Amino acid sequence: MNKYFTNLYNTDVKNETEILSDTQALIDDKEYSYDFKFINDNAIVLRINNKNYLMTLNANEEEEYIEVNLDSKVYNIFCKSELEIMIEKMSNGKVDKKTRKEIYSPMPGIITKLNVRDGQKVSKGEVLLVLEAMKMENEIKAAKDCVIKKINVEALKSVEKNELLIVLE
Amino acid sequence: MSTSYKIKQLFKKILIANRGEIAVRIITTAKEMGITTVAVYSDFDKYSLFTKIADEAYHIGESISSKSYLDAEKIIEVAKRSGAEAIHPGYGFLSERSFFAKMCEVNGLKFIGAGHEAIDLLGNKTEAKQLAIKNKVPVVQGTERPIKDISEIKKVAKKIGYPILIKASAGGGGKGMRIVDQESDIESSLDLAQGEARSSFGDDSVFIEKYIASPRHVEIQILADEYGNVVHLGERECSMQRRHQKIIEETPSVIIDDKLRAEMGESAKRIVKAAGYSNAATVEFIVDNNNNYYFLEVNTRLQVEHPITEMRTGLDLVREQLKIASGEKLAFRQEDIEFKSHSIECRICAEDPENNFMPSTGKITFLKSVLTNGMREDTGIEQGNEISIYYDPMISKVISTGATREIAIDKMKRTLKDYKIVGIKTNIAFLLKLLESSEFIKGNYHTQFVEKEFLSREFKTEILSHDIKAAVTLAAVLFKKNKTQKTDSLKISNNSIRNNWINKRTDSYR
Repeated sequence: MNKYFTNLYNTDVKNETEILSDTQALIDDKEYSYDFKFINDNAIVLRINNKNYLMTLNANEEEEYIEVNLDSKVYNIFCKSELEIMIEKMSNGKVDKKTRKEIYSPMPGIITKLNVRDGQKVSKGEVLLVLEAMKMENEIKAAKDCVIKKINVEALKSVEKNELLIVLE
Repeated sequence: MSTSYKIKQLFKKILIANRGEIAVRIITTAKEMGITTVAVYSDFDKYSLFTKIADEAYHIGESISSKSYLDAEKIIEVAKRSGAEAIHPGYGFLSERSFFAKMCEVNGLKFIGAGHEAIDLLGNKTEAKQLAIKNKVPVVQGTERPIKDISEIKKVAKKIGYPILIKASAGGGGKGMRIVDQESDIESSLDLAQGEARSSFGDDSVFIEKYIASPRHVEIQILADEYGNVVHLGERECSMQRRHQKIIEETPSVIIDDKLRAEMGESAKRIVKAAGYSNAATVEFIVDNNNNYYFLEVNTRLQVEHPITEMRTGLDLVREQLKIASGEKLAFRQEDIEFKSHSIECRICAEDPENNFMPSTGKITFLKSVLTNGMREDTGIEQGNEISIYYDPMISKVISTGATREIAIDKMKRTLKDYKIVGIKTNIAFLLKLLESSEFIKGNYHTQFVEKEFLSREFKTEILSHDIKAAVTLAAVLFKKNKTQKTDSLKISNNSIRNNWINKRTDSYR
């Protein structure tokens, strides 16, 4: 199966691409001749109709798209093979979205200040903790009036990105 | 005792008490001069570029800088053990800490920078301001001594009028600095400024001053030898800033003419001379809408953006620093300094401009830049490196030089477009947008431009050509196909190993 469906993020550009051979591809019913070489897993030289494109690529596993960088501009592309689309249709599973009752670390860093404790009432805009990364302090504030159910971190400890910091009631 | 004794011979061996691109920068010049170089590294930096190009490398502690690059005693101990005669502190870390300069002196090591008395005097913003006033250099209104008391801050603020700027006494690089628009914001801003100051500099006193809206930041590079000879090497326009951190610098500044340059240069020289300063210094000024300039502070070290001055004057500032520290006289006078060409520096940072410039960490899986036609890159990173939370997000500097400003801009844009880095987010696309803004092209920007104007600007979504659409789409498809094939072949080879193993077992049991 050599058919892929792509969607350029933030645009209505949708393409259907079929790899016909190592040198021919069909993009939206138009035939292109191409040549390519992967310099490493994340970089490709692609020649389409003799035009040169040196691009770098990265899979964003979390968001399920591929970041293509051309001339230092990033294009995010959702890309699915025919097979993947078939499997998805069959399983049609739903994944629970994270509820808003949890605060996750937006970046890796060190908790330099922890202003709240379990069970404390806080009001909107109150600084719950300060996360320091690369010498800049970032305040994590309450988005609404709420009660702190559980604090999952300790002051002066480092945290990873997306680590659960605080659970709200 | 003879007082005329001076070391006129260059150092044989120096230690570089820094990391990343600036360590690479210093090591390079030192090696060119035939000086043996000693690198010190934290756990994280064990095989970072600077440790590999240095002649010797010593482990000094944990990744967190307070347990390595800020551990003065450990660094001094290594310097003595390795037989280094002098220490170059780079920028940041211990570079502006007078106690460290003093510790070097006490231990018989030459600190490649100003003497500790001059660092104390100029590093203290209040005393530096007094010195400026005494030497007839214009300053901005504000407190004349550091304060900690909040009611006193409120009183002064009322007198000079809002907005005010709260600055950590020992701050720099935008750390420990907050603008306050109204009295009710003072407490929280003071807390943050002091917090940052404490963690970065270990000193939490602050001072406040009148905040000048839309100013330019223009600084003068100074070289001073130990015999009272002082020259200035012209200005650097550093107004392109975000969160008080410079991101693009250029020289000359579009607003500075020969007369103003000479005037600011002489002002800067007066302050440095009065402080009894030697080695490299940068005197920072802010310039208002009417081209009035005010003294801001003196940075008693090599600046991040020093390369543009090097490109414009043809001097190697690290070489000059090493010569001055070893007791040589400046080999040129003010009138010998030639200003040629235009030079621009862009700072490449590991951050995500799309997400409030959040620092970005990760492994660099691909890295390539094409530096031809006189382009320069001062970098500390290599393909395969990790970018961590421990250190500054600034990972590399790209420097372009051209006969005119237009040429320098064109060259910078070309290089940034061809700069390929995968694995972390960077500000390269953002830098390109800035370079293409009409304000930058006209040279009509100030320190508030990025945050107050540029960031809120809506950009038209580009209409993509068919060619580009086809290229990025096909690249994504080929990438996906390549990855799937790799995983599949891995599965197959795993199976074959297993089959083989079963076969062997059966064989031996037969």
